[in-house]
Parts: sequence; C-alpha cells; structure tokens
Amino acid sequence: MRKLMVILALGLTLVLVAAGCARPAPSPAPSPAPVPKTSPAPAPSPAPAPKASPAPAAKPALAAESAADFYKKNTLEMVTPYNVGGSTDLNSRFVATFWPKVTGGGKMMVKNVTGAGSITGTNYIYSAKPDGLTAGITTLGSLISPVLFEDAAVKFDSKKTIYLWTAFSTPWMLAASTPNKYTTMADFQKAKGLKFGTQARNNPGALVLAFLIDVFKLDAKMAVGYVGSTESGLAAGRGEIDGTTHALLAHKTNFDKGFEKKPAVIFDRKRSAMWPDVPTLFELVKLTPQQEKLFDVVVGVASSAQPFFAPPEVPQDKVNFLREKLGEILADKEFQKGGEKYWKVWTEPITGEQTKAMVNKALSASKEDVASLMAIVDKYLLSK
Amino acid sequence: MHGFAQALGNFGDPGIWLWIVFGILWGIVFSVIPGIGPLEAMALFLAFAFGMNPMYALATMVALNSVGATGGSITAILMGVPGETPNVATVYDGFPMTKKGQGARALGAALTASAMGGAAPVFLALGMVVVLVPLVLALTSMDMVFVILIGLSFIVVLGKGSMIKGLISGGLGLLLAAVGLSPTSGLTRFTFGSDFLYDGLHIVPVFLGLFAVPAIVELALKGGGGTIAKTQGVAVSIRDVSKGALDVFRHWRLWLRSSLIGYVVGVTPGIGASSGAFIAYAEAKRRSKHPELFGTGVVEGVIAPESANNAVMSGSLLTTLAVGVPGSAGGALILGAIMVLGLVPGPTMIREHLALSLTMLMIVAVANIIGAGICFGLVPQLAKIAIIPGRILVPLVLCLIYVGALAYEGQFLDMVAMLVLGAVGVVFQHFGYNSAALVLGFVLGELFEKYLFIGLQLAGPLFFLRPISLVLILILISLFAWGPVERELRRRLRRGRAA
Repeated sequence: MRKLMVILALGLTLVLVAAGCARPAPSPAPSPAPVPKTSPAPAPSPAPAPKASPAPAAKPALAAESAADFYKKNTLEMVTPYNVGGSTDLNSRFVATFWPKVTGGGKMMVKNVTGAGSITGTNYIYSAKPDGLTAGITTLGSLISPVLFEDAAVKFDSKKTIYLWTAFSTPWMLAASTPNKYTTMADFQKAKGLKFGTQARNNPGALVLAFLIDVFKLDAKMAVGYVGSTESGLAAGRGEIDGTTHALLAHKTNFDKGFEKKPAVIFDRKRSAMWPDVPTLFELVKLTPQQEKLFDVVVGVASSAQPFFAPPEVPQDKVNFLREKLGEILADKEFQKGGEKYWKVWTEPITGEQTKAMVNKALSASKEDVASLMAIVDKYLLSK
Repeated sequence: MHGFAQALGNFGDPGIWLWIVFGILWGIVFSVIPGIGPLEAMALFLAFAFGMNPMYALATMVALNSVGATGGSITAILMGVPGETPNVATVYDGFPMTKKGQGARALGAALTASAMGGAAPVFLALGMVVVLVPLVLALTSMDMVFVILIGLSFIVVLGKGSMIKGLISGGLGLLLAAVGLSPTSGLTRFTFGSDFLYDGLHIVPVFLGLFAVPAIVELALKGGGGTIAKTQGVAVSIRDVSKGALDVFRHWRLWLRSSLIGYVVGVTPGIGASSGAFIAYAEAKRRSKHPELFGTGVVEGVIAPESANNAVMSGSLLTTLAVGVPGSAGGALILGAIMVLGLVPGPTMIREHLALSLTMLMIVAVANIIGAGICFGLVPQLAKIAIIPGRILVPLVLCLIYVGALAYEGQFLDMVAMLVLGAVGVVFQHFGYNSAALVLGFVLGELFEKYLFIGLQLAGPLFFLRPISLVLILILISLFAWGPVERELRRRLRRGRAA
C-alpha cells in the first residue's frame, strides 16, 4: 500500500511538471501584410540559375525593414525532425553559422524534434505559431511519403506548407557490392538469382530498388531489414548482397570505404555531376507512360533533397525575408566551399515555388498508383 | 612506426591537452546526470566543430565520449541511478555496496576498473588498426544472429537463482523491444495508435524506470530521516577508496577478461555497445566460485561491468575510424564530425590520416586515466551521499530523473513511460525478478530479430551452415555446457583417486 502511495505521488509530480511544460495552443495567424511576393536572386554560378519568381513589384520600405528588424531582434528556431549528426541536422547547423552574417546579427537556433520517423517533428513545425520564428528542414521524401501512404501519425498537410528553398539534393542510384563480380546494369541484366539489400518494405530504398528491378527486368530479389545506408553498405562490403540503393551522398561514403563500386545507374532524368559518366535509367531503358508516372511518384517519395519550410499562414513579408536570406546563404561561395567537404559536390537549390510544384505533382498520385508501387515491391521481396 | 611517432608527437601540442581536459570535464559533468550524457554533450559541441582545427575538434569529442561511462558510475553506485545505459549493470552490486557503507570502496574499484579498462585495450586497438577491416567484413548478418544469441544467453546467467524468473524478465525485455516500427515490414507493432510508441520505447526512460524509480521508492519508504546506507559507519576515507582500487589489481584476471569482452563488443559493429557491460557482468557471475553473492554487494560485480563499458569505447572508436561503421551512438556522432571536417572514415582514413587516427585512439587511454584521476579526488566527498537524509535526496534525485527522461528526446511521454517501467521495477524488486535481464533482452531483442530475418531471407533456414556461424554455435554451447562437463570430469577424477 505504501509503495502504491509513493508511485501515485510520483505520478502527481509528473502531472504538475506536465502542466508547467504545457505548450500554449497556437494563436490564430495574423492577416498577412499586403506585400507583393518577392524571391531572392541567386548569385551567378556555372550551372543554369534556378527559375526565379516573377519580378518583384516595389514594396513599401517600412514592411521590408520591419521584417529585417524582426529577425535581428528575435531568434529563428530551425527545427529538424532527425537526430543530431544526421545530414539535415548538420546542414541546418551549417546554415545557422551563416545566419548572423546575412541578417546583421540575427540568431538561428537548431532544435531536434524526433519521433515516429520524422513525422513528430514535421507535425511540430506545421502546428507551430505562424509568427515566422519557427522554420524546419527535412527531406522532401518525408513530406511526401507519409502523406501518400496515409500514415495515421501525420497531422500536417504538405500542400499547405510554405516552402522556402530546397537544397542539398542528390538523386538515388544502384551500385554493386565491391567483392562481387558485377559492375554495370548490363552485368546485372545477364545475371541470375541476384540478391539486393535495402531497408524496410515501405522505405524509399525498397521502392527505388523494386522499380529498377522491374524496369530492367532483372532476375533479382530484395532482402529488407537493413537499418540505414551504413548497414546496407556494410552488407555490400561483406558481399552478402549483390548491390544496394542509396542517395548519392550516402553511396559516396560507402564507395570511399570500399564497400560499393561506382553507381551502375542514376535514378534521375539527368546525369549527376558527382558521377558524370554514369548513365541515367532513361538512357538505358524506355519506360512506358505508366512506368514514367510511377517514376515521378517514386522520385518524390524517395527524394533526399532538403527543403526549408515554414508552417502555413506565416505573414508574407516574413516568408519573403526568409526566402531572401536563405537564398543569400545558399548562394554564398564561402558556404558552398565550406560545405563541399561534406556534400562532395554542390547542386543548385530550387525555389520554394518549384518545390511546391514537385510536392503537388508527387501527391497527385492516385491510390491505384500507390497500390501498384507496393505490388511491385512485394513481387520482388525475398520474404514473400 | 612513422605513424606512431607522429601520433605521439601530436601530444606535444599544448592545445590538444587543453581540449582533451575540456572534453573530459564536460563529459563527466554531463554523464553524472542520469539520462543526459556524452551524446548530448557531443551534440552541443558538434555545432562548434565546423571550422575548428580537426585535431582539436576530434580530440574533444573522443575525450567526451571516453569518460561517459566513468561519470555515470558515480550515481549508479551511490544512488542506484545509472548515469548511462552501460552503468545499469554496475547498479546491481555497486548500490548494495553503498547500502553496506562501502560506497567509497565501490567507487574506487569502479574508477580504477574504468581507467584500466579504457586504457589497456587501446594497445590492442593500435595493433589491430590495419587488420580490423577484413575481420569485420568476414562477419555477415547470418553470423551476427549467433553473436547476438550469445549475448542473449547471458539472460540465463543473470537469472541464476531463479532461472524461470530470469527467463520471464528477459522475455519481457524482448517483448518490449518489439514495440514500435518493425525494421523488416515497416509496420507498427503494439503501438495502439500512439505516435509516441511509433519508434518504440526509449532506452533511457526504461533503465531510469527499472532502476532509479525503485531506488527512490525504497528510500522514500524509509521516511524523511532514512539514508541510503543501512549501516551506521560509512567508510569514506582515501584509504577506503584505495582499497577499492587495489581490489582491481587483486582481481586482475576478472578485469582483463571483462575488458576483452567489452573491447570485442565495441569492435563488432551491430551488437550495441551497452550490452558489453551486461555480458561482462554475467560472465563474471558465471565464473565466480560464489555466484549467489552477486547482487548482494560484491566488488567483482562492480569491476566487471566498469572494465567492460570503458573498453567498449576503444573498440567502437577503432571500428568507426578503420571501417567507417560506428559501433555505438557516440561513434556515430564522431563519424559525423569526421565527415563534417572533410575526412573520409574507413580504410582511406587509416591510409591517409594514420597519425590522426592513432592519436584519437591514444586519447581514449589518456582521457580514461585523467577522467578517473579527477573523479578519484572527489570520491570521499561524493560517498557521503549515502548518509544524506531521504527528505533531501529524494526530491533531488526525482528532479534529476525527470530531467533525464525528458531531455533524452524532449518528449513528455518519456516521463510517463519511466513511471510505468518504474512500477514494473518495483514489482520486479518485490518478487525477485531480474531487471538487468529485462534490459539485456530489450537492448538485444530488436537486433536479434533483424539479423535473423535478414539471415533467413538471404540463406534460408540453413543459414547457420557457415564456418563462422558454426564456431559461434560451438562457443555458445561450450559456454554453458563446459561448467557441468568440468564438474563431472572432476567428480570422476576424485572418485578415481579415491578408488
């Protein structure tokens, strides 16, 4: 009985702590200030500049100044729904070191809100008070995939999210494991009984791999269950699987460790600057219209590009300011050079509007398309 | 040889010593607070690593990571609240020693075992730098099934005294490990629609609940004037601390075996560094002439896990550097720092930055020795925690564990989970079940399922018909069969002599 009383006392303490920690409900969003939309002009670069938004109309100097003053005085919370040390975390921290420079002394604080894959953090950002002081960075795939697959934990609407910029994009690829005898897609097409490895059944890696096996008509199956590109890369290095798929940055790490060979194919419409001599799947096979449609869905779901985004109903002047300043950071040569050690190669960012178009396109997939994709995955599972 | 000379030469830079000491102090402070540890400290530091001298940045992170378990043993022994997951096994005998008034001796043993356990395997690591990669690559997912099974089999040892209760405890741990997203199907299990349980239960609230909450409940039930120490006399002099230090030298075989176990666990990617301390503790109990005394407050029960949990660090750092695969969560952050600084972990790192890699390994040894030395000076005062009245200690420890549970992932429900597991811990304590077996099952359960599933997919039901797997199966059988076989052989020998 006494023990029960003590446990109840502990529980009561917890309730009191919870009451103290309770987050106030977001207040209704203020009406946006009537300022015309502007987009930041990117710095010149060798690659074609991203498509800019329509030329800005003149905006009242007072509104632009007030957004600048606002961010100089207040700390912007940049939330990432992934753990410390991951790529979104590292990228956001790197961006945070440049924020004071572009805002004349403003501060950016990186916060990790993890859980439920990345869904808890994304829910947190989406439901944050739309005062312009909370923004997020995640992977595009994690804004699309849970919505498309109707994950019950999702409380955000990717179509209503405000996209600022999307950067750090690398396409997916398929590479052979180093100890085994295959290297190119032609080698894989001649082989029998291939075993590839990837993550869980409904993970982007499984979708990309299954799609490639299907369009190239490989005699192959997939083993699922590896957690992360490090594990599947190690499995490739051990030779227990014949190959695996990752985003290019993860592959480069495994390639440098000697676990995987250079990519056999790039899962994109255009070649990658990181591996300019590796063909895309469009150069090697002709896709049917239905396969092209599914390709766009898979590209969206698997996208490792990292959008900076804000909750809906953030005032337009603050959205414009955030776009302008983040654009300045991304265009900064010092930023690009400093991060290149980690990213290996710099890919041009795309604007918020372009990101929104990509998201809407991926989310326009029908339930039948999603079902077709999962049927393709199940067809090639070793466990089935 | 040139690489070794250069690595030693790096220690001639006074700047590196400043950063090492900074890392040690920061690591100890963070690791003493239950639930918050070197991971959080390293995460905070990572932001500063951009633009830093790579040598200084990595020296700080390695030093931070190396002393995490050292600081955590202080609260584990004195308050029964493990500072870090690897310190859970230390609670089993460390806290009872404090209750018997031998807290200073326990701390002396823990710190010495930590220093020696962390420092000595570094020499092994330095020698293995160039041969590790083929060894790690030889071990496939199919073999890992049996490596994990060996770890799980120690549940039986932990439950000795009541095998059924040990197995039930371990089984409950395996069940708790199944909660959340399945790594194989991508579907959620036992979440009951809760987003919080999507990723499963978190390890920190689990061990805080199972160990810290029952300790607080027990202290609270003694009344406001009750103290942790049951005896009137509490030994807190330097002589008592030294007695504990000498215990490690007296039990040098135990220290050596436990350090090797920790090192092997650390160097093998995919096992989970926290299981090293459990396995070392269980092995120490298995080999002891008086296994029934484990859990009542014997110094061997402190030496084994503390040697192992520091030895894990050198093994896991070696794998992180040489193979590019982190052997622990701290290793993952160090890997992140290495990549941020533009270096490539793995064989390339060893080839192109051998001196830096060797320096980092040496820092593990240096940090463990200095960290233990710093803590040694504080032990006589810290040991007096055992005689602080409960009315002061209970609220303080309560705050610490709530902070620890909340700080882990910033989720309020982690505190609820801690309390629920706390109720389980109180029941376990009352009915003689084994919380350490539960934690071992919890830590290793998901890994076992994952590797078993992968092994079955890749090689079918006969996946164990591989040379390394068969050797591991033999080791597993001999671990448990050898004892009875040896006893039977001795009995027959004695009978033969008598005849």
